[in-house]
Amino acid sequence: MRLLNFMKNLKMKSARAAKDMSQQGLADAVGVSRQTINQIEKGDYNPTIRLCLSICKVLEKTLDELFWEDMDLPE
Amino acid sequence: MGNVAYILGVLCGFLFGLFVVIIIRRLNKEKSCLKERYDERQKIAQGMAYKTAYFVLLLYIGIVLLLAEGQFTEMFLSFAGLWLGICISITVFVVICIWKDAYISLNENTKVFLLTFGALELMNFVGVVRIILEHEPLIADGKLTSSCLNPITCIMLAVVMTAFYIKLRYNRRCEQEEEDV
Repeated sequence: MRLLNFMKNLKMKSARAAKDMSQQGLADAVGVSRQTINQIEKGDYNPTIRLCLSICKVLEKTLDELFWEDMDLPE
Repeated sequence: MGNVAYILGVLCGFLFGLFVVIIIRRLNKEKSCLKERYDERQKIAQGMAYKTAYFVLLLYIGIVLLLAEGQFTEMFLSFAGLWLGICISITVFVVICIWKDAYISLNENTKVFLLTFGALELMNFVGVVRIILEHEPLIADGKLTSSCLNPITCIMLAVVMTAFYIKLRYNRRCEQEEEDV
């Protein structure tokens, strides 16, 4: 069975860049380590819903905008 | 009756170590109102590190017992031999945590950790020098002696500090790359 490979979170990275925030800045605002933010953006760590909500609040985005996968649904 | 002086010496060493740890932890807290805080990813990484270290310790004990039962060697069936297993297990745990950025909590200072480990390394190194100068045997009656404790601890701390240093440089490079992007 293939392990789930979390995708890079480019939406979160661009939202963070749009607010001119560094990874450390976002980490401090959310209350996690910089490495956690880095791993979320690289797709190496899947955050809990609580952390997702905290990030959304800081970046002023919704969960859909930052964390929902764009999937092509079958017709 | 056991060696009272030895027991008192161990007790004094333990109390001194405890005193030093308490002082360092009080100085270490950047925000004294907060307890040590690890984020969710760090806690998961620590859990994985604990599990790995636990199985490494079990493996070590198994190997030592097999070697003794098979009459190959009883060298590790002593306090120093068990201490070696404990140090290997601790090293595995700490190195995994360091590599996963899960050793230092959110409100602790990396530099203080490095200074602490450096000071411990120095104290143990002094012990190693003393052992060499006094020609104390590391093996007696086919078993590791208590003279091995300082060298074992010294090597463990050296490995941990090396891991710290490598990780710090790697993190700095990543931060630099991230800033450049």
